[in-house]
Amino acid sequence: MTLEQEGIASAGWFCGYTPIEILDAAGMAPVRITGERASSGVADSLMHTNICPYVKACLESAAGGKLDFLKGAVFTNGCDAQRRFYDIWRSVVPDVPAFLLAVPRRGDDAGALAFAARLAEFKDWAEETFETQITDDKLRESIRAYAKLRKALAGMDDARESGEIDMPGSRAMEIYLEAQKTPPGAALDMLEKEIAAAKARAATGNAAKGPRLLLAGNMTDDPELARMFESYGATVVSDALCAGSRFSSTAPPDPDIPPLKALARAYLRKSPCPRMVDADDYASRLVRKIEATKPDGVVFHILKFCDAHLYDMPFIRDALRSAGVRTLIIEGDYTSGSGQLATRAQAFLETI
Amino acid sequence: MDTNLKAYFDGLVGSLGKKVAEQKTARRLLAYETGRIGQKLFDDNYAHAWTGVFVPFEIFRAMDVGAVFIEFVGAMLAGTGSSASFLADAEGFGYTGDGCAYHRAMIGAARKELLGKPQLLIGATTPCDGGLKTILNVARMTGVEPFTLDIPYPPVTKDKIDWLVGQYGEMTRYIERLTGKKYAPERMRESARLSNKASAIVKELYELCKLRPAPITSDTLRNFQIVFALLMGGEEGVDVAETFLADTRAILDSGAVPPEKHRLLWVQNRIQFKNNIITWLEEKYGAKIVVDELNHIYWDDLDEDNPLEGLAIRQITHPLNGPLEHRLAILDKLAREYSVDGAINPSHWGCRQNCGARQAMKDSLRASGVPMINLDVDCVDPRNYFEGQILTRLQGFMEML
Repeated sequence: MTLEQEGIASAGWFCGYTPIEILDAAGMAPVRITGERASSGVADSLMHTNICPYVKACLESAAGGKLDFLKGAVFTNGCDAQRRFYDIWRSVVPDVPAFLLAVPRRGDDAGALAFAARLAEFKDWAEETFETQITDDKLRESIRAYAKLRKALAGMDDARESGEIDMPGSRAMEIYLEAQKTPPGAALDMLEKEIAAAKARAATGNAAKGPRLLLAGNMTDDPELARMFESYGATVVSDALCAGSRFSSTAPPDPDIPPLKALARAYLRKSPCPRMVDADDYASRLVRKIEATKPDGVVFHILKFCDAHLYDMPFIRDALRSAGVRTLIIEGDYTSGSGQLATRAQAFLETI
Repeated sequence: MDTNLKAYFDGLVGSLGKKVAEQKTARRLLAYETGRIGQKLFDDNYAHAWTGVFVPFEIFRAMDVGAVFIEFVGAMLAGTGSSASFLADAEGFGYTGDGCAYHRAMIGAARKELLGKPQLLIGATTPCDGGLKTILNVARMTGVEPFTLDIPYPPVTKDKIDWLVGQYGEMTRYIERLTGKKYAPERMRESARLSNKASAIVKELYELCKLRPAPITSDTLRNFQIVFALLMGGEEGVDVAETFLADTRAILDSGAVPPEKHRLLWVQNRIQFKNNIITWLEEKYGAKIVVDELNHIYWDDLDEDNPLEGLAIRQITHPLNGPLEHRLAILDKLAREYSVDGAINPSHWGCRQNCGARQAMKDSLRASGVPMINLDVDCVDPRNYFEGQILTRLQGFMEML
């Protein structure tokens, strides 16, 4: 059953820099919105063809009335496409209140202070929109719940990488998505069961032994992508994705400072989206992850028209080359694969 | 053009300087001053900065920093018919062809060391993601330390002003550290005074353009304010503004006002490479661009005793910063005040913040009774420009008007 079917009030979010703890503390189930894979062309008529396909897929859902169940939606200024989405959302889904959260780019103390002020505005909006009061106690409770969930997800990633559990990358992607669409308590229960089952599978010693891959990119949220590589014998052991390990990279907010300040600091210092850092910073973090994970190859899947990623790609590509990592770079359009993609995947795996 | 931009600017300034001395016309003077800005990039008396498009040039002026925004370079290359080779170079390097060609041309130019090496690279988080990424990537290519202004979104609040003013302070210290130039409050005060003076004259100029018929041609104020911003805070800015105003008044006084049947609003930037659209619109339809969206003084005078605060407010309230509603309101206001019959948006390919907004802009203007046509043009890259198709679409639009 979906949250909608269960009658659980939900608020939508899109960008990994949305402190969903505030929505949770407002009594909303924070639901990360993923879009329609098939386009009816409505989104193309509302935005240009050269806008992020993830944003347009979400717009497609919104225009089709599939997000009307939301009590509110939170956008950020994480990219040009998303802030334009916020603008259009208000005419397409006028009955679902929207909030645009301006996330500073700098992660130092001054940036955190500025972000905390914006979070106070976000909190005010949530209180008014959802007709509730968000006390510090509620906020701390939500912070603890999400910190626990993130720690468990990060633990799952570590166990996948080490082989302690047998969990295909495609399943891990599904778990991550479910964790971002489900209240934190229920998500944790689900996760614990999945990990226990994956541990049991590992004990049988039948885990796949094919080439180990790291999947990197932006809003790549389609488990089918990992499944395709797995179908050719590879194992996706790790990821550097917005809806994947970047979600669990937010460190537990400091419990000894006011919760909004703590959230501001924690979110600005998570594993960064390329919008937040320069190409060298992003690439060096990725290379460090590769050194720790030791994959046989990296699949870099980027949704088209993502300037934050694509402008940096020549430099990231060079950094990966210098690190001696075999890399396949794919520009995706938020659809589930194609014959051409399958051919490229097979050819890539043959080089490993 | 590929190898010796300094010689190009020297030649431009030399020939235009003579012409300006013979007869000072507004466009000639603007081109001359633009050439002088280019010269400063190679002049050891100035620190050299490449910047984002909407940054406070008055501060640079007060610190003897010769600055150009990176999109200026792309526009200049397109205007001189030489953007294609720089675009191709950037694409060969792996830069996405789906991105903004202003930025791609800049990457190509930096790779070919067309502009030498800057001392300063100053970007901002607005108006787009690509502009800042380009500054940061040029920093990586040149080894120059960059500085980024993190621009808060409207509405204006005290904490946002304080934060941005604090960043201006950091920026001046960054400039001091890298160039040895000093920030002096009295020079900043003078820069603010001259900026206010120039703005007041430009406002008068824009008022004249609201007359029917407007005493300008479609190209009189082409790329005007976006380039004029580079002169803000200096005597040259005042001189250019006064010359434009004087020329426009003279046309009005002479009674030789160019005729017009249709009045048009041009959204965002012009097409920078040579094309026949404007002439065709004027000759075939008597259509005149009476206002460009970016030719608009939307801010109040800077407080000369506290100029940084005024600059912060100006930057936060820029129509292209933050949510679209402010921009839509400005477009609506311009359409009404200039009594336009229609609007043209080139929808520059690769400009996400504009392309993502184009239907909303169209709907908003239509609600005010002003039809808008979205063209699909890359304003800097002539390689995929098919004028026949564009003119066919414009023909339909003009006949509808």
